[in-house]
Amino acid sequence: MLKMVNVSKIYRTELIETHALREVNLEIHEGEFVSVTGPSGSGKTTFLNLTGLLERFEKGEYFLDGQNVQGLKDRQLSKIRNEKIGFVFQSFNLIPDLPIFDNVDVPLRYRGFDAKERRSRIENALATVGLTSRHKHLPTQLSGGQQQRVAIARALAGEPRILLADEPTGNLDSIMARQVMDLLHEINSKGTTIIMVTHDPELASRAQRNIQIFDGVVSEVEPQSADVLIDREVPHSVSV
Amino acid sequence: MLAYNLQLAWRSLFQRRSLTILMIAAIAIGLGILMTVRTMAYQSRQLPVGERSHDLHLVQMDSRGVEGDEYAQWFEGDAMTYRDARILMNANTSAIRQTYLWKTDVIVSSENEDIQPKRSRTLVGLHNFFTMFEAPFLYGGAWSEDANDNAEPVAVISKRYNDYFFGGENSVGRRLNLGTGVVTVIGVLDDWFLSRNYYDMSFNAARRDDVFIPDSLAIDLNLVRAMQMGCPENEADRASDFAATDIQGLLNSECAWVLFWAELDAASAIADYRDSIEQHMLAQQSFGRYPREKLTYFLTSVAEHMDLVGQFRGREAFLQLMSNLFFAVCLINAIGILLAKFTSKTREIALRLALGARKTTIMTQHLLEVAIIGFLGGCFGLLVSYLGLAGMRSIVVYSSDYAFRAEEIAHAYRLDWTMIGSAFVIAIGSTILVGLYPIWRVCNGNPAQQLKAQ
Repeated sequence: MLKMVNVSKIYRTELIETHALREVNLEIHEGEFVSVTGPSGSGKTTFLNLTGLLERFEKGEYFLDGQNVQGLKDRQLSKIRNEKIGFVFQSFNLIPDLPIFDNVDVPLRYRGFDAKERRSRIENALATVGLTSRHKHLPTQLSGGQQQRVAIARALAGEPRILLADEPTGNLDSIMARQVMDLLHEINSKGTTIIMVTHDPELASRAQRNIQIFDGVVSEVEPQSADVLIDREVPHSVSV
Repeated sequence: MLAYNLQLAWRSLFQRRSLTILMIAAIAIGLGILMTVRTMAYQSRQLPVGERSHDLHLVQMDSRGVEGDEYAQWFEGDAMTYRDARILMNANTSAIRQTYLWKTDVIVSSENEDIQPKRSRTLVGLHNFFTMFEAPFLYGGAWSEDANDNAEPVAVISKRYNDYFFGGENSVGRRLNLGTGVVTVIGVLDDWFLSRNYYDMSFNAARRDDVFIPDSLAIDLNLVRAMQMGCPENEADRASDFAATDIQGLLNSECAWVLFWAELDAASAIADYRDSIEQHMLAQQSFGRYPREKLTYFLTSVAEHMDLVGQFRGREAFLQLMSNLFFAVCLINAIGILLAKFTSKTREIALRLALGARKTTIMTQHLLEVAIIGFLGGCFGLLVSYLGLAGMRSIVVYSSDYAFRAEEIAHAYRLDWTMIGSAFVIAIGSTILVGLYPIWRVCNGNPAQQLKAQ
């Protein structure tokens, strides 16, 4: 469902050219649970942003569901993000002054569903993450784990084909992290493809596949050896 | 989606509320001052009698001797001689109506000795005056054509005088002393609000005439001629006598002192009227008058007069410039505040983009928010403007030593629907304009970076 061919991403300033991703060749199939690991600054988040169409890339081709996304207009990219991709962030990114119900409602509003359809989807998504009774609460009235489950509900409400999670347990204690991971596995078991960036080798090892990124270069490793390259700081900037 | 965007825009007003209030206040104050000045300028530019301002024409004929340069513009010219005015009145012309008028100063008193007499600037004219210049009557009406011819002792008075001398009652049939004569009131004018006193060419914004009497009566009573006497060289030394005492000498003189008006409702009527004037001047020349080689006359409408008056409003132009600049400063402040407000929302905007919102949708949401701010700024700006206009009116009344009543000049300081509408157009339009940059900036950030930033 996702295929990258020689995809490269370079950040440029007046003095520095940084190769965030180099010639990425990768294929991820429907229903897979893929963890992405690598040292800080290796390009993991950039990879996730490219996958989620939040950033554009300079070279290569990226096919999502067989469609080449390079050169698509903002309108088309927004539609794909809205319909096919769900996001879960490390810092939850809930809108603080909106109740939980309205937070989950955000992507559905842009999808153009009517009120009845939205309500049904929101209730189902909140039920999936076990927060039905908290739908009137504000995010600040929930624990970190609960907030992340709301973020997952928001991602699930649109029934995306692919869920992108950027260190979803990074701000959680171990018990809550385990609950969130269990939830992600449950979602994956129902057919949703999940790509998860993590620093945690244990969490990475629970994925079907592990991709490591080192200095912008993507390589695939066996899940049990996922901790090999984690937390190694490697400079990868090239002066021009 | 529009309803959702409106909902978000409304919600956003209450986020960082102090910035919203600051922005509305900046727009309201700037707009309030702008609209105060604009309203005064707008009201003073209003054509005094609407579309009829194009129909009412001042007639001037240069009857001077050979001395002096030719008049090139109507405002250089004199009024008209009494002889010419009478001949034109009786001539068969294309004018719908004609009248002439002049002013006199006279002491007015009533039979009730408890009421102090008043020195009144009195308009002397013909019965047509009231119809031509659309003077509104509260009681009674104008005098008849016969009264014109027979010097009937009648007068029309203003509402102000009716209130003063008769306590506001219907005074038709009551008497007033006018100098040495006695006149019967046959009409009382209602409040008559004009942007400018145009018919006597004073263009005074506030001072109104309080007594109106027939020309023949004023001549009979030999009331003083409070007019500028445009006399030729050979009669110049008699001008003061003409004005004060020598009425017969004045009527037969070449001194130009009466204002002559003709109502002409079509281009063809104007052309025909020009022919009539030219024929009249040629005929008079054959009798030895109009000694200048080139016969010069002017036929100019009220609308043309008001145009010219508008060009000489230096103080008004300066005030407009200053208020425009002040409003611009307020808008520049608003840009800064908008930037601060929207920048604080970049994370939410990035999130919405990530969740599938289009940039255009986000921009629409923020444009709506800015439009609401502009609308609210417009509402409060109108309130500021209302207070500003009331203040300006009070200053004028005070500086005139209360010679003007506030209600007499209220029309010049009134916000009408045109100005209210333009206030909202300016407020919303300019706020959207200054909001474009902040909106563009926050909508074109990198959502990936903003979502990652803690």
